[in-house]
Amino acid sequence: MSAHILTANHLIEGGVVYLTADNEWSGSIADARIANSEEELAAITEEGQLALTNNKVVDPHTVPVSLEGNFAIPTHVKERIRAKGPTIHPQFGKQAEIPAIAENIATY
Amino acid sequence: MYRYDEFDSRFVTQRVSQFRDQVERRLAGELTEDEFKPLRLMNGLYLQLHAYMLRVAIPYGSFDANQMRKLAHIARHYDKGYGHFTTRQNIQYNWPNLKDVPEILDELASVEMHAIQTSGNCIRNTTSDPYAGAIAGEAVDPRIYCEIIRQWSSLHPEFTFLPRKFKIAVTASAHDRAAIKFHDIGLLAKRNEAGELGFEVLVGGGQGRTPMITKPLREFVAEKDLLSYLEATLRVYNLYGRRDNKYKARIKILVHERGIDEIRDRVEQEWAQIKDSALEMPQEEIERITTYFQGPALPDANLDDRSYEVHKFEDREFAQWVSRNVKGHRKAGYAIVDISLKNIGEAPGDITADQMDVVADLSEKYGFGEIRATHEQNLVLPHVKTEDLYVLWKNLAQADLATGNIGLISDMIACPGLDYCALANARAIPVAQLISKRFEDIQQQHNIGDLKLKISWMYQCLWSSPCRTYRHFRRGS
Repeated sequence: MSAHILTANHLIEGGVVYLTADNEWSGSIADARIANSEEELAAITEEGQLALTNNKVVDPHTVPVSLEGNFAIPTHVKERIRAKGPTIHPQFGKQAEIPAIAENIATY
Repeated sequence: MYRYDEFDSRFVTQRVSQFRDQVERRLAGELTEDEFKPLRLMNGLYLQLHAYMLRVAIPYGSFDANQMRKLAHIARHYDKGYGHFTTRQNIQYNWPNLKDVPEILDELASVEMHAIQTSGNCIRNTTSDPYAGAIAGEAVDPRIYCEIIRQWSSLHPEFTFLPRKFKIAVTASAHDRAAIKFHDIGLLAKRNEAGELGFEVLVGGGQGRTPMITKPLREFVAEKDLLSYLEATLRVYNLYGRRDNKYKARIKILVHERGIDEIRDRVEQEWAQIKDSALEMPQEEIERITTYFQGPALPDANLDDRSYEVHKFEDREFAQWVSRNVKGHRKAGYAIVDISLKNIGEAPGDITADQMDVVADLSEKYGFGEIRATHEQNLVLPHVKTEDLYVLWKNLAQADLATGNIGLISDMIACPGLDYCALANARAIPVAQLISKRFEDIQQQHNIGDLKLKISWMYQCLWSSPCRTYRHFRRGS
Protein backbone atom coordinates (compact mmCIF):
# COMPACT_ATOMS: atom_id res chain seq x y z
CA MET A 1 0.00 0.00 0.00
CA SER A 2 1.06 3.60 -0.46
CA ALA A 3 2.17 5.63 2.54
CA HIS A 4 -0.54 7.57 4.39
CA ILE A 5 -0.71 10.29 6.99
CA LEU A 6 -3.58 11.49 9.17
CA THR A 7 -4.81 15.06 8.98
CA ALA A 8 -7.70 17.08 10.47
CA ASN A 9 -8.66 20.64 11.38
CA HIS A 10 -7.99 21.96 14.86
CA LEU A 11 -11.22 22.49 16.75
CA ILE A 12 -10.51 26.03 18.01
CA GLU A 13 -8.33 27.58 15.30
CA GLY A 14 -9.73 25.53 12.44
CA GLY A 15 -6.19 25.23 11.07
CA VAL A 16 -4.85 22.14 9.32
CA VAL A 17 -3.09 19.72 11.69
CA TYR A 18 -1.31 16.37 11.35
CA LEU A 19 -0.96 13.45 13.72
CA THR A 20 2.68 13.13 14.82
CA ALA A 21 4.78 10.13 15.81
CA ASP A 22 4.05 11.05 19.46
CA ASN A 23 0.31 10.98 18.74
CA GLU A 24 0.16 14.75 19.23
CA TRP A 25 -1.05 17.23 16.61
CA SER A 26 1.25 19.50 14.62
CA GLY A 27 0.51 22.28 12.16
CA SER A 28 3.37 21.11 9.96
CA ILE A 29 3.12 18.22 7.56
CA ALA A 30 6.85 17.76 8.11
CA ASP A 31 5.99 16.36 11.55
CA ALA A 32 3.39 13.89 10.28
CA ARG A 33 3.51 10.25 11.39
CA ILE A 34 3.74 8.09 8.29
CA ALA A 35 1.81 4.84 8.03
CA ASN A 36 3.44 2.30 5.72
CA SER A 37 1.28 -0.74 6.44
CA GLU A 38 -2.36 -1.66 6.86
CA GLU A 39 -1.79 -2.02 10.59
CA GLU A 40 -0.25 1.44 10.88
CA LEU A 41 -3.04 2.92 8.75
CA ALA A 42 -5.63 1.38 11.09
CA ALA A 43 -3.70 2.73 14.07
CA ILE A 44 -3.62 6.34 12.85
CA THR A 45 -7.26 6.13 11.80
CA GLU A 46 -8.12 5.05 15.32
CA GLU A 47 -6.10 7.94 16.77
CA GLY A 48 -8.11 10.31 14.60
CA GLN A 49 -11.43 8.96 15.84
CA LEU A 50 -10.19 9.25 19.40
CA ALA A 51 -9.19 12.88 18.87
CA LEU A 52 -12.56 13.57 17.26
CA THR A 53 -14.36 12.01 20.21
CA ASN A 54 -12.19 14.01 22.61
CA ASN A 55 -13.03 17.22 20.72
CA LYS A 56 -9.46 18.04 19.81
CA VAL A 57 -9.98 18.04 16.04
CA VAL A 58 -12.65 18.07 13.34
CA ASP A 59 -12.86 15.92 10.20
CA PRO A 60 -9.91 13.54 10.73
CA HIS A 61 -9.03 11.69 7.54
CA THR A 62 -6.13 9.80 6.07
CA VAL A 63 -4.25 11.06 3.05
CA PRO A 64 -2.06 9.12 0.62
CA VAL A 65 1.41 10.59 0.30
CA SER A 66 4.62 10.08 -1.61
CA LEU A 67 7.89 10.35 0.29
CA GLU A 68 10.70 12.65 -0.74
CA GLY A 69 13.34 11.82 1.83
CA ASN A 70 11.45 11.98 5.09
CA PHE A 71 9.05 14.60 3.74
CA ALA A 72 5.49 13.47 3.05
CA ILE A 73 3.96 15.01 -0.07
CA PRO A 74 0.18 14.45 -0.50
CA THR A 75 -0.61 12.93 -3.85
CA HIS A 76 -3.80 14.97 -4.33
CA VAL A 77 -3.50 18.69 -5.06
CA LYS A 78 -6.31 19.52 -2.60
CA GLU A 79 -4.26 18.07 0.24
CA ARG A 80 -1.12 19.80 -0.99
CA ILE A 81 -2.98 23.12 -0.86
CA ARG A 82 -4.24 22.25 2.65
CA ALA A 83 -0.68 21.47 3.70
CA LYS A 84 0.80 24.62 2.19
CA GLY A 85 -1.85 27.34 2.13
CA PRO A 86 -3.90 29.15 -0.54
CA THR A 87 -1.99 29.45 -3.81
CA ILE A 88 -3.48 32.89 -4.36
CA HIS A 89 -2.28 34.19 -0.99
CA PRO A 90 1.30 32.99 -0.44
CA GLN A 91 1.53 35.35 2.51
CA PHE A 92 -0.99 33.24 4.45
CA GLY A 93 -1.11 29.67 5.72
CA LYS A 94 1.67 27.21 6.54
CA GLN A 95 3.77 28.36 3.57
CA ALA A 96 4.21 31.73 5.26
CA GLU A 97 5.17 30.22 8.61
CA ILE A 98 7.27 27.16 7.76
CA PRO A 99 9.96 27.59 5.06
CA ALA A 100 10.38 23.83 4.56
CA ILE A 101 6.76 23.55 3.47
CA ALA A 102 7.04 26.39 0.98
CA GLU A 103 10.18 24.74 -0.42
CA ASN A 104 9.05 21.13 -0.57
CA ILE A 105 5.42 21.20 -1.64
CA ALA A 106 4.44 22.26 -5.12
CA THR A 107 0.80 23.11 -5.76
CA TYR A 108 1.05 23.74 -9.50
CA MET B 1 -30.94 52.74 4.98
CA TYR B 2 -33.11 50.45 7.07
CA ARG B 3 -32.58 50.90 10.81
CA TYR B 4 -33.19 48.12 13.32
CA ASP B 5 -36.25 48.51 15.47
CA GLU B 6 -36.47 47.06 18.97
CA PHE B 7 -37.50 43.65 17.65
CA ASP B 8 -34.58 43.47 15.20
CA SER B 9 -32.06 44.42 17.88
CA ARG B 10 -33.42 41.95 20.38
CA PHE B 11 -33.56 39.20 17.76
CA VAL B 12 -29.94 39.67 16.68
CA THR B 13 -28.48 40.06 20.18
CA GLN B 14 -30.41 37.01 21.41
CA ARG B 15 -29.04 35.03 18.49
CA VAL B 16 -25.47 36.10 19.32
CA SER B 17 -26.02 35.08 22.92
CA GLN B 18 -27.37 31.69 21.85
CA PHE B 19 -24.40 31.11 19.56
CA ARG B 20 -21.93 32.15 22.28
CA ASP B 21 -23.44 29.48 24.49
CA GLN B 22 -23.31 26.91 21.67
CA VAL B 23 -19.61 27.65 21.02
CA GLU B 24 -18.81 27.35 24.73
CA ARG B 25 -20.59 24.02 24.86
CA ARG B 26 -18.72 22.85 21.77
CA LEU B 27 -15.35 23.87 23.20
CA ALA B 28 -16.24 22.19 26.49
CA GLY B 29 -17.04 18.97 24.65
CA GLU B 30 -20.75 19.06 25.47
CA LEU B 31 -21.66 19.21 21.76
CA THR B 32 -20.20 16.92 19.12
CA GLU B 33 -19.24 18.24 15.71
CA ASP B 34 -22.31 16.54 14.23
CA GLU B 35 -24.50 18.39 16.73
CA PHE B 36 -22.66 21.69 16.37
CA LYS B 37 -22.29 21.83 12.58
CA PRO B 38 -25.93 22.75 11.74
CA LEU B 39 -25.86 25.38 14.48
CA ARG B 40 -22.72 27.07 13.20
CA LEU B 41 -23.92 26.89 9.60
CA MET B 42 -27.14 28.70 10.49
CA ASN B 43 -24.88 31.46 11.79
CA GLY B 44 -22.76 31.65 8.66
CA LEU B 45 -19.76 29.76 10.03
CA TYR B 46 -18.21 27.18 7.72
CA LEU B 47 -15.10 25.05 8.14
CA GLN B 48 -13.08 25.43 4.97
CA LEU B 49 -9.74 24.01 3.83
CA HIS B 50 -7.44 26.09 5.99
CA ALA B 51 -9.64 27.50 8.72
CA TYR B 52 -13.15 28.52 9.68
CA MET B 53 -14.88 30.96 7.34
CA LEU B 54 -17.49 33.46 8.48
CA ARG B 55 -19.95 34.83 5.92
CA VAL B 56 -21.52 38.12 6.97
CA ALA B 57 -24.81 39.25 5.45
CA ILE B 58 -25.10 42.61 3.75
CA PRO B 59 -28.87 42.71 3.19
CA TYR B 60 -29.56 43.56 -0.47
CA GLY B 61 -25.98 44.86 -0.67
CA SER B 62 -26.70 48.16 1.11
CA PHE B 63 -24.52 49.35 3.96
CA ASP B 64 -22.92 52.52 5.30
CA ALA B 65 -19.55 53.96 6.25
CA ASN B 66 -19.78 52.94 9.91
CA GLN B 67 -20.60 49.37 8.95
CA MET B 68 -17.69 49.30 6.49
CA ARG B 69 -15.35 50.53 9.24
CA LYS B 70 -16.60 47.72 11.46
CA LEU B 71 -15.92 45.22 8.68
CA ALA B 72 -12.39 46.66 8.42
CA HIS B 73 -11.95 46.38 12.19
CA ILE B 74 -13.01 42.73 12.13
CA ALA B 75 -10.65 42.00 9.24
CA ARG B 76 -7.78 43.64 11.10
CA HIS B 77 -8.35 42.27 14.61
CA TYR B 78 -9.88 38.84 14.08
CA ASP B 79 -8.69 37.85 10.62
CA LYS B 80 -5.68 38.49 8.39
CA GLY B 81 -6.38 42.06 7.36
CA TYR B 82 -8.69 41.52 4.43
CA GLY B 83 -12.18 40.41 3.46
CA HIS B 84 -13.75 38.91 0.35
CA PHE B 85 -16.93 40.29 -1.20
CA THR B 86 -19.02 37.50 -2.67
CA THR B 87 -21.36 37.12 -5.64
CA ARG B 88 -24.38 37.41 -3.35
CA GLN B 89 -23.51 40.83 -1.92
CA ASN B 90 -22.06 39.36 1.29
CA ILE B 91 -18.54 39.48 2.73
CA GLN B 92 -16.47 36.52 3.92
CA TYR B 93 -13.60 36.24 6.38
CA ASN B 94 -11.35 33.27 5.73
CA TRP B 95 -9.37 32.87 8.96
CA PRO B 96 -11.38 33.47 12.16
CA ASN B 97 -10.86 31.33 15.27
CA LEU B 98 -13.94 29.56 16.57
CA LYS B 99 -13.54 31.06 20.03
CA ASP B 100 -13.56 34.60 18.53
CA VAL B 101 -16.71 34.21 16.47
CA PRO B 102 -19.24 35.14 19.20
CA GLU B 103 -17.23 38.32 19.79
CA ILE B 104 -17.21 39.06 16.06
CA LEU B 105 -20.99 38.59 15.95
CA ASP B 106 -21.28 40.97 18.92
CA GLU B 107 -19.22 43.53 17.00
CA LEU B 108 -21.47 43.08 13.97
CA ALA B 109 -24.63 43.44 16.05
CA SER B 110 -23.34 46.77 17.36
CA VAL B 111 -23.65 48.14 13.80
CA GLU B 112 -26.86 46.27 12.94
CA MET B 113 -25.20 43.44 11.01
CA HIS B 114 -25.21 39.66 11.42
CA ALA B 115 -24.42 36.35 9.75
CA ILE B 116 -27.82 34.70 10.17
CA GLN B 117 -29.06 32.56 7.26
CA THR B 118 -25.94 33.08 5.19
CA SER B 119 -25.74 29.30 5.06
CA GLY B 120 -28.03 26.31 5.49
CA ASN B 121 -31.11 25.11 3.63
CA CYS B 122 -33.11 28.25 4.27
CA ILE B 123 -33.99 31.50 2.49
CA ARG B 124 -30.68 33.33 2.06
CA ASN B 125 -29.85 37.00 1.82
CA THR B 126 -32.23 38.60 -0.68
CA THR B 127 -30.16 40.41 -3.29
CA SER B 128 -30.95 43.44 -5.38
CA ASP B 129 -29.81 46.04 -7.88
CA PRO B 130 -26.72 47.81 -6.51
CA TYR B 131 -27.91 51.01 -8.17
CA ALA B 132 -31.32 50.86 -6.42
CA GLY B 133 -32.59 54.25 -5.35
CA ALA B 134 -30.02 56.04 -7.47
CA ILE B 135 -30.69 55.00 -11.05
CA ALA B 136 -33.42 56.63 -13.11
CA GLY B 137 -36.44 54.72 -14.35
CA GLU B 138 -37.13 52.36 -11.46
CA ALA B 139 -40.74 51.38 -10.81
CA VAL B 140 -39.91 51.59 -7.11
CA ASP B 141 -36.88 51.13 -4.85
CA PRO B 142 -36.60 47.32 -4.82
CA ARG B 143 -34.82 47.34 -1.45
CA ILE B 144 -38.14 48.10 0.27
CA TYR B 145 -39.39 44.67 -0.76
CA CYS B 146 -36.04 43.01 -0.08
CA GLU B 147 -36.34 44.29 3.48
CA ILE B 148 -39.93 43.04 3.74
CA ILE B 149 -38.79 39.64 2.45
CA ARG B 150 -35.89 39.68 4.93
CA GLN B 151 -38.26 40.23 7.83
CA TRP B 152 -40.70 37.59 6.58
CA SER B 153 -38.03 34.97 5.88
CA SER B 154 -35.80 35.40 8.96
CA LEU B 155 -36.26 32.29 11.10
CA HIS B 156 -39.46 31.49 9.21
CA PRO B 157 -40.51 28.32 11.07
CA GLU B 158 -41.80 26.59 7.96
CA PHE B 159 -38.81 27.34 5.76
CA THR B 160 -35.83 26.72 8.03
CA PHE B 161 -35.25 23.18 6.72
CA LEU B 162 -36.02 23.39 3.02
CA PRO B 163 -34.83 20.67 0.61
CA ARG B 164 -31.94 23.01 -0.26
CA LYS B 165 -30.95 26.64 0.06
CA PHE B 166 -33.24 29.22 -1.53
CA LYS B 167 -32.19 32.50 -3.13
CA ILE B 168 -34.41 35.43 -4.09
CA ALA B 169 -33.41 38.51 -6.07
CA VAL B 170 -35.46 41.66 -6.67
CA THR B 171 -35.06 44.41 -9.24
CA ALA B 172 -37.25 47.26 -10.41
CA SER B 173 -35.43 48.23 -13.59
CA ALA B 174 -35.83 47.03 -17.14
CA HIS B 175 -32.03 46.64 -17.15
CA ASP B 176 -31.49 43.69 -14.82
CA ARG B 177 -28.45 44.28 -12.62
CA ALA B 178 -29.53 41.67 -10.05
CA ALA B 179 -29.38 38.57 -12.27
CA ILE B 180 -32.97 37.72 -11.33
CA LYS B 181 -33.26 35.02 -14.00
CA PHE B 182 -30.57 32.97 -12.28
CA HIS B 183 -32.22 32.79 -8.87
CA ASP B 184 -34.67 30.36 -7.30
CA ILE B 185 -37.18 33.21 -7.43
CA GLY B 186 -36.65 36.42 -9.39
CA LEU B 187 -38.94 39.37 -8.82
CA LEU B 188 -39.33 42.27 -11.22
CA ALA B 189 -41.24 45.17 -9.67
CA LYS B 190 -43.40 46.95 -12.22
CA ARG B 191 -46.66 48.84 -12.63
CA ASN B 192 -49.75 47.54 -14.40
CA GLU B 193 -51.85 49.51 -16.85
CA ALA B 194 -53.73 51.07 -13.94
CA GLY B 195 -50.45 52.27 -12.49
CA GLU B 196 -50.62 49.85 -9.55
CA LEU B 197 -47.39 48.40 -8.23
CA GLY B 198 -46.81 44.66 -8.38
CA PHE B 199 -44.30 41.99 -9.29
CA GLU B 200 -43.61 39.68 -12.17
CA VAL B 201 -42.56 36.40 -10.57
CA LEU B 202 -39.96 34.12 -12.18
CA VAL B 203 -39.01 30.75 -10.76
CA GLY B 204 -36.48 27.96 -11.15
CA GLY B 205 -33.26 29.65 -12.22
CA GLY B 206 -29.90 28.61 -10.91
CA GLN B 207 -26.34 27.63 -11.59
CA GLY B 208 -24.12 24.83 -10.40
CA ARG B 209 -23.86 21.61 -12.37
CA THR B 210 -27.35 22.12 -13.87
CA PRO B 211 -27.58 25.75 -14.99
CA MET B 212 -31.12 26.91 -15.76
CA ILE B 213 -32.88 30.16 -16.56
CA THR B 214 -36.07 31.01 -14.68
CA LYS B 215 -39.50 30.37 -16.15
CA PRO B 216 -42.43 32.76 -15.77
CA LEU B 217 -44.64 31.82 -12.82
CA ARG B 218 -47.01 34.79 -12.70
CA GLU B 219 -47.16 37.90 -14.83
CA PHE B 220 -48.35 40.17 -12.04
CA VAL B 221 -48.76 39.81 -8.29
CA ALA B 222 -50.15 42.87 -6.54
CA GLU B 223 -47.90 44.54 -4.01
CA LYS B 224 -50.08 43.60 -1.03
CA ASP B 225 -50.05 39.94 -2.09
CA LEU B 226 -46.30 39.52 -2.49
CA LEU B 227 -45.66 37.64 0.75
CA SER B 228 -48.65 35.31 0.42
CA TYR B 229 -47.59 34.44 -3.13
CA LEU B 230 -44.00 33.81 -2.04
CA GLU B 231 -45.25 31.72 0.86
CA ALA B 232 -47.40 29.65 -1.49
CA THR B 233 -44.45 29.09 -3.83
CA LEU B 234 -42.12 28.11 -0.99
CA ARG B 235 -44.77 25.71 0.36
CA VAL B 236 -45.03 23.95 -2.99
CA TYR B 237 -41.24 23.66 -3.12
CA ASN B 238 -41.03 22.49 0.49
CA LEU B 239 -43.69 19.86 -0.12
CA TYR B 240 -42.64 18.53 -3.52
CA GLY B 241 -38.93 19.41 -3.74
CA ARG B 242 -36.73 16.33 -3.78
CA ARG B 243 -34.95 15.37 -0.59
CA ASP B 244 -33.62 12.03 -1.81
CA ASN B 245 -30.74 13.50 -3.79
CA LYS B 246 -29.09 16.80 -2.95
CA TYR B 247 -27.98 17.14 -6.56
CA LYS B 248 -31.65 17.30 -7.52
CA ALA B 249 -33.01 19.27 -4.58
CA ARG B 250 -33.12 22.85 -5.87
CA ILE B 251 -36.43 24.27 -7.11
CA LYS B 252 -35.04 24.50 -10.63
CA ILE B 253 -35.07 20.69 -10.77
CA LEU B 254 -38.63 20.55 -9.44
CA VAL B 255 -39.78 23.02 -12.09
CA HIS B 256 -37.86 21.13 -14.75
CA GLU B 257 -39.21 17.70 -13.77
CA ARG B 258 -42.83 18.66 -13.09
CA GLY B 259 -43.11 21.41 -15.69
CA ILE B 260 -43.90 25.06 -15.06
CA ASP B 261 -47.64 24.57 -15.70
CA GLU B 262 -48.03 22.00 -12.92
CA ILE B 263 -45.98 24.11 -10.52
CA ARG B 264 -48.05 27.18 -11.39
CA ASP B 265 -51.29 25.26 -10.78
CA ARG B 266 -50.10 24.01 -7.40
CA VAL B 267 -48.92 27.48 -6.36
CA GLU B 268 -52.24 29.00 -7.41
CA GLN B 269 -54.15 26.35 -5.40
CA GLU B 270 -52.03 27.01 -2.34
CA TRP B 271 -52.25 30.76 -2.81
CA ALA B 272 -56.04 30.63 -2.94
CA GLN B 273 -55.93 29.26 0.61
CA ILE B 274 -53.73 32.00 2.10
CA LYS B 275 -54.10 35.01 -0.18
CA ASP B 276 -56.26 37.06 2.16
CA SER B 277 -54.63 35.85 5.36
CA ALA B 278 -52.41 37.73 7.78
CA LEU B 279 -49.74 37.63 5.07
CA GLU B 280 -51.47 40.47 3.22
CA MET B 281 -49.11 43.39 3.59
CA PRO B 282 -50.64 46.40 5.37
CA GLN B 283 -50.12 49.60 3.41
CA GLU B 284 -49.01 51.48 6.51
CA GLU B 285 -46.23 48.92 7.12
CA ILE B 286 -45.04 49.23 3.52
CA GLU B 287 -45.02 53.00 3.96
CA ARG B 288 -43.12 52.71 7.25
CA ILE B 289 -40.38 50.64 5.61
CA THR B 290 -40.39 52.88 2.54
CA THR B 291 -39.35 55.84 4.71
CA TYR B 292 -36.04 54.09 5.43
CA PHE B 293 -35.19 54.00 1.74
CA GLN B 294 -35.90 57.57 0.73
CA GLY B 295 -32.15 58.13 0.52
CA PRO B 296 -30.16 61.17 1.48
CA ALA B 297 -31.50 64.63 0.73
CA LEU B 298 -29.41 65.47 -2.32
CA PRO B 299 -28.73 69.20 -2.55
CA ASP B 300 -28.90 70.61 -6.03
CA ALA B 301 -25.56 70.39 -7.79
CA ASN B 302 -24.02 73.38 -9.53
CA LEU B 303 -24.93 72.52 -13.11
CA ASP B 304 -22.83 75.42 -14.39
CA ASP B 305 -19.66 73.84 -13.00
CA ARG B 306 -17.66 72.63 -16.04
CA SER B 307 -14.68 71.26 -14.09
CA TYR B 308 -15.80 67.64 -14.58
CA GLU B 309 -15.86 68.03 -18.34
CA VAL B 310 -12.54 69.86 -18.28
CA HIS B 311 -10.88 67.11 -16.24
CA LYS B 312 -12.19 64.47 -18.62
CA PHE B 313 -10.79 66.44 -21.54
CA GLU B 314 -7.40 67.01 -19.94
CA ASP B 315 -6.81 63.69 -18.16
CA ARG B 316 -7.17 60.64 -20.40
CA GLU B 317 -6.88 58.11 -17.55
CA PHE B 318 -9.69 59.86 -15.69
CA ALA B 319 -11.82 59.87 -18.82
CA GLN B 320 -11.23 56.15 -19.31
CA TRP B 321 -12.20 55.41 -15.71
CA VAL B 322 -15.34 57.52 -16.10
CA SER B 323 -16.28 55.70 -19.30
CA ARG B 324 -16.46 52.37 -17.45
CA ASN B 325 -17.04 53.13 -13.76
CA VAL B 326 -19.42 56.10 -13.72
CA LYS B 327 -23.13 55.80 -14.49
CA GLY B 328 -25.91 58.35 -14.79
CA HIS B 329 -27.90 59.25 -11.67
CA ARG B 330 -31.60 60.01 -11.38
CA LYS B 331 -30.70 63.53 -10.22
CA ALA B 332 -28.93 65.95 -12.53
CA GLY B 333 -25.39 66.75 -11.44
CA TYR B 334 -24.94 63.42 -9.64
CA ALA B 335 -23.40 60.09 -10.65
CA ILE B 336 -23.22 56.46 -9.54
CA VAL B 337 -19.62 55.31 -9.04
CA ASP B 338 -18.45 51.71 -9.34
CA ILE B 339 -15.32 50.87 -7.33
CA SER B 340 -13.64 47.91 -8.98
CA LEU B 341 -12.22 45.19 -6.73
CA LYS B 342 -10.53 43.62 -9.75
CA ASN B 343 -7.00 44.96 -9.76
CA ILE B 344 -4.78 43.14 -12.21
CA GLY B 345 -3.49 39.89 -10.73
CA GLU B 346 -5.54 40.15 -7.53
CA ALA B 347 -8.27 37.82 -6.30
CA PRO B 348 -11.66 39.18 -7.47
CA GLY B 349 -13.63 40.62 -4.55
CA ASP B 350 -10.70 40.84 -2.13
CA ILE B 351 -10.26 44.10 -0.24
CA THR B 352 -7.84 44.98 2.55
CA ALA B 353 -8.91 46.49 5.86
CA ASP B 354 -7.08 49.71 4.96
CA GLN B 355 -8.96 49.90 1.65
CA MET B 356 -12.24 49.34 3.47
CA ASP B 357 -11.45 52.33 5.68
CA VAL B 358 -10.62 54.42 2.61
CA VAL B 359 -13.95 53.53 1.00
CA ALA B 360 -15.75 54.37 4.24
CA ASP B 361 -14.03 57.75 4.48
CA LEU B 362 -14.63 58.60 0.82
CA SER B 363 -18.26 57.53 1.00
CA GLU B 364 -18.77 59.96 3.87
CA LYS B 365 -16.86 62.76 2.20
CA TYR B 366 -18.36 62.45 -1.27
CA GLY B 367 -21.27 60.00 -1.13
CA PHE B 368 -23.47 60.67 1.91
CA GLY B 369 -21.99 57.62 3.66
CA GLU B 370 -23.82 55.10 1.46
CA ILE B 371 -22.08 52.03 0.00
CA ARG B 372 -23.34 49.09 -2.02
CA ALA B 373 -21.85 45.65 -2.63
CA THR B 374 -22.56 44.22 -6.08
CA HIS B 375 -23.14 40.65 -7.20
CA GLU B 376 -20.17 41.19 -9.50
CA GLN B 377 -17.89 41.51 -6.46
CA ASN B 378 -17.39 45.25 -6.70
CA LEU B 379 -18.52 48.22 -4.59
CA VAL B 380 -20.65 51.23 -5.48
CA LEU B 381 -20.97 54.77 -4.16
CA PRO B 382 -24.54 55.50 -5.31
CA HIS B 383 -24.74 59.28 -4.85
CA VAL B 384 -21.70 61.36 -5.87
CA LYS B 385 -21.75 64.88 -7.31
CA THR B 386 -20.14 64.94 -10.74
CA GLU B 387 -18.07 67.93 -9.64
CA ASP B 388 -16.48 65.66 -6.98
CA LEU B 389 -15.64 62.79 -9.32
CA TYR B 390 -12.12 63.92 -10.17
CA VAL B 391 -10.94 64.30 -6.59
CA LEU B 392 -12.73 61.06 -5.65
CA TRP B 393 -10.91 59.24 -8.45
CA LYS B 394 -7.57 60.69 -7.28
CA ASN B 395 -8.23 59.46 -3.75
CA LEU B 396 -9.33 56.04 -4.95
CA ALA B 397 -6.16 55.77 -7.04
CA GLN B 398 -4.00 56.37 -3.97
CA ALA B 399 -5.60 53.29 -2.42
CA ASP B 400 -5.35 51.13 -5.57
CA LEU B 401 -9.10 51.31 -5.99
CA ALA B 402 -9.34 53.22 -9.26
CA THR B 403 -9.14 50.41 -11.81
CA GLY B 404 -11.37 51.51 -14.69
CA ASN B 405 -12.46 48.10 -15.90
CA ILE B 406 -16.15 47.64 -15.09
CA GLY B 407 -17.67 45.28 -17.66
CA LEU B 408 -14.31 44.59 -19.30
CA ILE B 409 -12.54 41.24 -19.43
CA SER B 410 -10.54 41.84 -16.24
CA ASP B 411 -13.76 42.56 -14.30
CA MET B 412 -14.25 38.84 -13.78
CA ILE B 413 -16.13 37.23 -10.97
CA ALA B 414 -14.82 33.95 -9.61
CA CYS B 415 -15.67 31.53 -6.85
CA PRO B 416 -12.99 30.90 -4.19
CA GLY B 417 -12.47 27.42 -5.65
CA LEU B 418 -9.93 24.97 -4.34
CA ASP B 419 -7.78 27.63 -2.73
CA TYR B 420 -10.29 27.95 0.12
CA CYS B 421 -13.44 25.92 -0.49
CA ALA B 422 -13.65 22.46 1.06
CA LEU B 423 -16.14 21.39 -1.63
CA ALA B 424 -14.12 22.48 -4.67
CA ASN B 425 -12.06 20.24 -6.85
CA ALA B 426 -10.41 22.85 -9.05
CA ARG B 427 -8.98 26.32 -8.64
CA ALA B 428 -10.85 29.30 -10.08
CA ILE B 429 -9.11 32.45 -8.85
CA PRO B 430 -5.65 31.60 -10.28
CA VAL B 431 -7.28 31.33 -13.70
CA ALA B 432 -8.87 34.75 -13.20
CA GLN B 433 -5.51 36.17 -12.13
CA LEU B 434 -3.70 34.78 -15.16
CA ILE B 435 -6.33 36.09 -17.57
CA SER B 436 -6.27 39.54 -16.01
CA LYS B 437 -2.47 39.60 -16.30
CA ARG B 438 -2.71 38.50 -19.93
CA PHE B 439 -5.00 41.46 -20.61
CA GLU B 440 -3.16 43.82 -18.28
CA ASP B 441 -3.09 46.64 -20.85
CA ILE B 442 -6.20 48.64 -20.01
CA GLN B 443 -6.21 50.21 -23.47
CA GLN B 444 -6.43 46.75 -25.02
CA GLN B 445 -9.35 45.95 -22.71
CA HIS B 446 -11.13 49.14 -23.78
CA ASN B 447 -10.52 48.24 -27.41
CA ILE B 448 -12.10 44.82 -26.86
CA GLY B 449 -15.07 46.44 -25.12
CA ASP B 450 -17.79 44.76 -23.07
CA LEU B 451 -16.78 41.22 -22.28
CA LYS B 452 -18.00 39.48 -19.16
CA LEU B 453 -16.20 36.38 -17.98
CA LYS B 454 -17.25 34.31 -14.99
CA ILE B 455 -15.18 31.50 -13.55
CA SER B 456 -16.27 28.70 -11.29
CA TRP B 457 -15.48 25.07 -10.63
CA MET B 458 -19.15 24.79 -11.52
CA TYR B 459 -19.54 21.44 -13.24
CA GLN B 460 -19.00 19.75 -9.92
CA CYS B 461 -20.40 22.62 -7.88
CA LEU B 462 -23.75 22.20 -6.19
CA TRP B 463 -23.26 25.44 -4.40
CA SER B 464 -22.39 27.74 -7.29
CA SER B 465 -23.91 31.15 -6.77
CA PRO B 466 -26.45 32.43 -9.26
CA CYS B 467 -24.29 34.97 -10.93
CA ARG B 468 -21.09 33.26 -11.84
CA THR B 469 -21.60 31.60 -15.15
CA TYR B 470 -24.22 33.00 -17.50
CA ARG B 471 -22.15 35.54 -19.33
CA HIS B 472 -20.25 35.88 -22.55
CA PHE B 473 -18.04 32.95 -21.60
CA ARG B 474 -17.98 30.53 -18.78
CA ARG B 475 -15.32 28.20 -17.52
CA GLY B 476 -15.84 25.14 -15.37
CA SER B 477 -13.52 22.60 -13.90
